[in-house]
Amino acid sequence: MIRVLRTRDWSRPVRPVAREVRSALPGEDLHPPLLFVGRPAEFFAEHWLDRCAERGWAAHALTPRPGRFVGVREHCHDVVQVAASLPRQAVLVGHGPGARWVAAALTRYPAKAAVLIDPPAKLPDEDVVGRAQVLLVGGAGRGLTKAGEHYRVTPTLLSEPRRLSDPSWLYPLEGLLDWLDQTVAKP
Amino acid sequence: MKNLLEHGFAVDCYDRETGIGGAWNIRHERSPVYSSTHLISSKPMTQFPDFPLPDHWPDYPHHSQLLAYFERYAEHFGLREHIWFGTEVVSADPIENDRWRVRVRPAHGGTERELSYAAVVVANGHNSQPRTPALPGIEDFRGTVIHAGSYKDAAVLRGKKVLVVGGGNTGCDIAVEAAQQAAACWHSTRRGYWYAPKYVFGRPADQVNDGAQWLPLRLRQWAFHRVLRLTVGDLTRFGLRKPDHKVYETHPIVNSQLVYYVGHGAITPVHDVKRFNARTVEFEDGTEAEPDLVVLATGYAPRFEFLDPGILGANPPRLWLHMFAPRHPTLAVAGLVQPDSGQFPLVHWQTQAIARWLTLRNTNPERAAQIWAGAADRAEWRWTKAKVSATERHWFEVSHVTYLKAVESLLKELTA
Repeated sequence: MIRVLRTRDWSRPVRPVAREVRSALPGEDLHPPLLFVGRPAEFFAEHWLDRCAERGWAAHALTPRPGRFVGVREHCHDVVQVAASLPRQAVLVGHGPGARWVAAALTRYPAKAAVLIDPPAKLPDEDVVGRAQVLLVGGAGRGLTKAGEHYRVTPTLLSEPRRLSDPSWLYPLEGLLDWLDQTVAKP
Repeated sequence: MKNLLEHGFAVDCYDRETGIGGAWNIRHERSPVYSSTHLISSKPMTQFPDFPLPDHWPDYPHHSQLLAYFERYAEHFGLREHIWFGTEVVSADPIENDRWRVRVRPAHGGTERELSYAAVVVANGHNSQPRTPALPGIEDFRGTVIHAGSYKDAAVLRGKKVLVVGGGNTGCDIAVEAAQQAAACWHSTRRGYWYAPKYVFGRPADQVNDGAQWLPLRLRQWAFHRVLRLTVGDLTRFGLRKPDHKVYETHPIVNSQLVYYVGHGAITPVHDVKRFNARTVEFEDGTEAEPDLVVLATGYAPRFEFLDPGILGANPPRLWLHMFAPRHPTLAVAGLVQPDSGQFPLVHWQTQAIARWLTLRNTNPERAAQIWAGAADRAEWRWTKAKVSATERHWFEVSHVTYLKAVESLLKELTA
């Protein structure tokens, strides 16, 4: 569904907050930047960001805003704000709750590509804007199947999905970097 | 351009200026922007819906910030490599199979080149060609007369006696600057206006207004009148005229400061100009002024000097949704609307519709022909909610909600 009239976004914009973004930059900036969301930036900084930079990808991570009355709308706003502040069209990577936020952000920002790790079963009913290529990763389950139908792609199954919240587990990261090398890397 | 590229088209963009930003780049020859220009619509109503203005910018950014925003947009989506800067389009003529022969040349002289394109999108703006009304006796006037288009900085007003002609947003801005800098300021308007403040209830006024879109128009008009009456009060007490129209019936004037300076006596409101004499100016209400500088804030007119006049229809152009020329399915105009909100969300959805329309013509010509069949009749439609005043300036005014609803249903039709 296309939504052009966004009365709520116009009349009640999300209240801005200070955001924490951690980054790791490669020596030579060739590819679209990556933006990781869903966990504190520190979580991604610990192992993932440097590995991305080593493989030639500028990588950024956004710490979710705290607060009791913070929902998908606020997180989506923050993701799009950071993505739009990057020099080029970004690749959004959603991990844990971040998968839901990235799914929402795809209806507001034309990402270069998106990776949803453990996507939720309930996805936004608005159309994806732009021409983002989507990669779905996770353990077998309803979420992955539903997301596969929604984005019309074949999901990638992980053998040990329970270790996903372990930042030292580099296996899914290497897989998604391989996918990015093949699909969105600049030749 | 970004939306066409996104839909897989190869795009060449010709711009007679040498940088991004068009009218919003104050260094450009035809830019109407002056050093104090700020937006009159707040951020959410102004930004491209898929590329937000930064959170740390103010509610109503300065024109230089808007230029920075356009430069970042071009960088972000890799548009620069598709733009031929410093190149102007001399003519665009329809040839066989709905294709276009386009002649271009360097803006400051040089050899012309002739190219052929499958479609042409016109996006040259409508604020670059100053419009000057016939003012009796102006040739006898000994003072200086400039058009607001060449007004750049309040320094030219300092210590002068200034007459500002025109009650639009630019006219009001300049009158306020004259109140601050000049020795005297007269402000001549054809009619009374509603001066909407930038903030009501501590929030940008346009956001408050859009939050009330579910209310019927008449109720909103009543509430708006009520709020202005309670906060600003009776404008006729200041010597300003009573508006001859309801609010939302003309492009809004957003200015919190004008009434304030009228109240200080720093601006003297006067009626329409009757005639110019050598030293003085007479007004319809019988008063006179003796200015050294006259600033004509009398607006701009859209111009399409590279198109044969018949192509867009009579003057003013008759275009379906202010975009499509009924006889030329591969010609589209973007940005020829004056909304009661920010301009850029409308232009974004217009260009999405143009890109999808051109895509559909390739993928499903029968369906495209069906949709097109009704275009000629619909070119007469207008997309305003309130009854818009019919002066020459107001023909492409639209109400953003009504207009976007129409574009939304077109987008749905094109993607179904």
